[in-house]
Amino acid sequence: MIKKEVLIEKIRWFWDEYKRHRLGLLGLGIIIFFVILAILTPVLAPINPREWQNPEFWINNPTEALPIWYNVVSPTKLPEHKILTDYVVEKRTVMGAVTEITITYKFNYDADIPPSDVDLHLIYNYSKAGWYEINVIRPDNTILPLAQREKYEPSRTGNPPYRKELIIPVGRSEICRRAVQNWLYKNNIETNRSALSLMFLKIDVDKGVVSDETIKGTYTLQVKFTIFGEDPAFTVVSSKLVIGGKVYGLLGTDDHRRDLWYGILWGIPVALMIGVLASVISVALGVMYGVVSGYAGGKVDELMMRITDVLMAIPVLPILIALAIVFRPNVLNIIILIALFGWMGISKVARSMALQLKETQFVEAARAVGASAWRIIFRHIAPHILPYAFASLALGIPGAILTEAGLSFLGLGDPTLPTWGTILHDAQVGGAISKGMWWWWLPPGLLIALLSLGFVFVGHAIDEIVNPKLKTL
Amino acid sequence: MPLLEVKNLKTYFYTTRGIVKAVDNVSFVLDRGEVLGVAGESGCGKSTMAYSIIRIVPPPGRIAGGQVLFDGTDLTKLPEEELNRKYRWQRISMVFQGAMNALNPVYTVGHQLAEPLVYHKGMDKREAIEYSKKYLELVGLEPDLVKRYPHELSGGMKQRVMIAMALLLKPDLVIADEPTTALDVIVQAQILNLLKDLQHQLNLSIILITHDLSIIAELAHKVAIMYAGKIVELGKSEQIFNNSRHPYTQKLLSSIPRLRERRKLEFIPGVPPDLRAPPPGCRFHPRCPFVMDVCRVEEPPMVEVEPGHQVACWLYTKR
Amino acid sequence: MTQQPIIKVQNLKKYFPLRRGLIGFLKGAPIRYVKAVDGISFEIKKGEVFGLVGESGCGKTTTGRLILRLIEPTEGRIFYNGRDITRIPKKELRPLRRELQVIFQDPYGSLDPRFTVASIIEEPLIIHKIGDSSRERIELISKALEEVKLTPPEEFLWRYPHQLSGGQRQRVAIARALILKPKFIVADEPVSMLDVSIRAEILNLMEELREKYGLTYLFITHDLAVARYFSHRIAVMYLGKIVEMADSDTIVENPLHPYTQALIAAVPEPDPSNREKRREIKIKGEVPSAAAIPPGCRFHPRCPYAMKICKEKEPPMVEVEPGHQVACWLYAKA
Repeated sequence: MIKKEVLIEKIRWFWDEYKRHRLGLLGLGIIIFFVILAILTPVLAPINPREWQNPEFWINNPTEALPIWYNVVSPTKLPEHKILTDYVVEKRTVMGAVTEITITYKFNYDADIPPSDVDLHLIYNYSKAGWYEINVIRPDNTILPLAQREKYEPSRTGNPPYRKELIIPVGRSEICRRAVQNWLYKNNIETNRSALSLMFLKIDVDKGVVSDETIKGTYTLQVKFTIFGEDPAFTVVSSKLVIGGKVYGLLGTDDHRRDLWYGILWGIPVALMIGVLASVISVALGVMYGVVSGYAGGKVDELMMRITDVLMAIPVLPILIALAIVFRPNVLNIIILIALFGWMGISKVARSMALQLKETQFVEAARAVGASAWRIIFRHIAPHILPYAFASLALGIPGAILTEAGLSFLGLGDPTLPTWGTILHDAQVGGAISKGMWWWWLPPGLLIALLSLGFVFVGHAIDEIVNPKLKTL
Repeated sequence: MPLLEVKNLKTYFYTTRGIVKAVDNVSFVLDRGEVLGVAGESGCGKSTMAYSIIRIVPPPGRIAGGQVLFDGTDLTKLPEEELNRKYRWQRISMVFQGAMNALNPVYTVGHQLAEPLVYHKGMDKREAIEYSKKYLELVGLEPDLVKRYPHELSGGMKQRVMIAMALLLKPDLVIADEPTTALDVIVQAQILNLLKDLQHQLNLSIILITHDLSIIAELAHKVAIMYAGKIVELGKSEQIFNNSRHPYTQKLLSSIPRLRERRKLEFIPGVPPDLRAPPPGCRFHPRCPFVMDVCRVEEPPMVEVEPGHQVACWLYTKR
Repeated sequence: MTQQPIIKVQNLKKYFPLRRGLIGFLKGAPIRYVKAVDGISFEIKKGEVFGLVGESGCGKTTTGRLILRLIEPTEGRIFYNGRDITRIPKKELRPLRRELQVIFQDPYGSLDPRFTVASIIEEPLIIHKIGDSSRERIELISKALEEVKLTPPEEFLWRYPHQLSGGQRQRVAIARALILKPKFIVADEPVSMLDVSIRAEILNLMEELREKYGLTYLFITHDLAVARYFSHRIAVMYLGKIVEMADSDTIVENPLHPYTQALIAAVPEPDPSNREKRREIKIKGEVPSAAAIPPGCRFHPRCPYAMKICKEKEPPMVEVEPGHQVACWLYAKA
């Protein structure tokens, strides 16, 4: 009971002391902010982080899109990404001989420039041959054909109904290019604009001039199937229309269409886990090693310290790189590697503290009552090193985070998880800087710095409290 | 006019956990050529009192009231710059507690002795070292010692160097804070002999602060006994040692083991009070064997029981 | 008090090797030693307080640690109740620890600041498996606290050392030493860090406990006055050797060794008539380093009576009167 009160009293004392360190409070605030984000990550980014490296998963996203809030500062309004799944299917029989099935999409477009792409996905079942055509009715009521009489036939294998998947990315589709070329020719317009641009840009048909401005308003996209007679098997299985945006998500996307906001968010728990675990392991290892070495003294101490000297003399990064190549890099391996090369400095300090502590009278008194070496180490020496261990724990975390980021940046990180380091690595490989894709490399860089800074502030504050020599009155 | 007159001096430490009244209403007078011994147990405020005189109380301590009249000038009101230039080390110098560690190990003794001469007297370095040799001789050391480094000196020699350093600028007053505490008994006797000689020779005024009443008896003309931030008894050395009045002084004297006579030692039960919340009335009353009702409520005034002998105790005061 | 001695020390030595520098190592320079204790012999009778007096660095503390086997002696033998304990293995040492205990000088340093009073005193009980339950041990601890007059014990059990005064801490240290019911206690300057006003309180408590439990003390101190007050016999050490040993009254009233004489002459007293006289200290200089002990009598460079033989031969310990031994050529025949 009373012991508990004493503990509470101690914590209160520590907090009173801590409150006086402004930077320490700032650092604590930063860490709490990140911890809250880390806890909320599964809610804010409800994906399995292992999907990060699966390109299929991100296929519906625009590529290299700016963050969505960029429109606030951007002089031209950039198109947002839209995935339309609302469509209307109409069936009509013309003169009793021809069946026409129309799939109609309607969408509003108000950006100043054309979208990055328009993708039509359509899966349908059929049993008879037919053709389809695609037309866009623009807000100015011009009708632009995107596909003209594209035929399809029953499959030569299998039995009806047959299934067909139609994927038409307007910007890259040869079908669209042909259809638009024909239309341009008919209307006597000469331009080298792509089908995608022409779908959205103002066109003066009389003068035959294409302007840079987009037409804003409601667009209608129609896919019309024409079949002779009846095709009772014909059904639209699924369809969607993707208007590829130039802005997407809170932090934009990379060249693999990945939503960087998700990557950054999942990077927080990963960074915290790596930092905390690696630091805990290395501090625990360092303290125990140092204490044992210092307490044992003599030749044992000499040998143990020479081993740390050797380890300290090894250039860590090249070794880590070599090991990361040998072992399959995954988060656990990386944590262990960082910890294995991070404990020597701590062990040196712990040893010198143990050397002092073992000369204290209370240790001598414990020996005089017959305490064993392990009892002295665990009960009398280690607890005194604990405050220092906490400070170096906090100070070790940013080191571990930075090392992991460095390894990942060099392409030696865990490839299956999004870490800030891997995002930076991808940005480097993807030429983010030359492409001016600041939203790709800046956030992970800033967050690494911010989180590290938070831990450094906290570490220094603890260090000052437990190390009265550093205190300035 | 006395050399030093301390009037109602108050030095408080403003800590986060309350105000520590380390020195609370202390007054005394010191004449030229006189040695005042200030005695008391650890934490009674004797060192803080000495530091207050030349205003080097470490924060969060502050002089909260009273006057320190040195040659008629109130040092507590003086601007810092003037205090530095005219008084500190020039007229009042100090020999610190544990002075053996006060020498900087990377400079020679001569270099360190020369420093105050260069700073205060504007001497050049060589001249200053030459000058300081005389002072090494004065404290019984070889003048050649100027070329040595502190680690080449024994504890007693270092303490002599510190004394030389305190005397360099011919101060009127030397404050010696536990000058012999860390020394072995033989070296202590040698240093005490030296201080005695120097005091006579230079007609120095000394404030000698120590927990050891025996050392005070060796040197002091006047003795002040401090308890919990206050002077409880003040008088000539003979009056204090042979005819003490305050129960605390009496008990303190009879708790000192004597080498040359065997007698039962006494002790004072209990512990000194927490200076953040001292007991009301006389601060000694919880430990006093003669405690009366009045002691618990009202602080005893300082009264003169014989010429030059003052006591703050209700046993000697009529209400 | 004429029974068998409880502690007997014969020609005990402890040399600490000095680290050679790299150059010294390459040159193959001989390892130098600090001769902290350099051949001392004495006996402590049962129930006695044996004072070991000397200046800092004379080896008195090392002697105490040697007897407790906290450090291993270089040479010599230690007997406890007639049994040679100099080289007994660790396993047998543990039960011995119950009988030989220690009180240290610094009550601030000898108590682990992270332990409560209860856990400080409980530690020896746990180590020696005394008391089956925590409740039983707390009972024993409370009794020990009462024994050292920290009452009521409940008020002290859960306090930390920093919440106690110096005197109270030293009582806790005494309680820890006593809880194993030892026979022999090394008290290493137990009152030198305490305020004068409470020294007598601790000394009286130790004396009371000695009488009650028939304890024997090795009382280590630099303060001759305290040593005389508290001990029956006193040995004076100088640079690792005992130079004089006698009843405490004899040492003070009839010191024979020039060093003892100087030591006694140097002790200040609370007598204001001393102000007018200089203390006559006949000896010169300061204690040399224990790494470079002068040949012959180690005191001769400082001795006002040094003779030729003092520089050449170490003086033997001679008994000049019953129970009064001195190692000085002034009293020995070559």
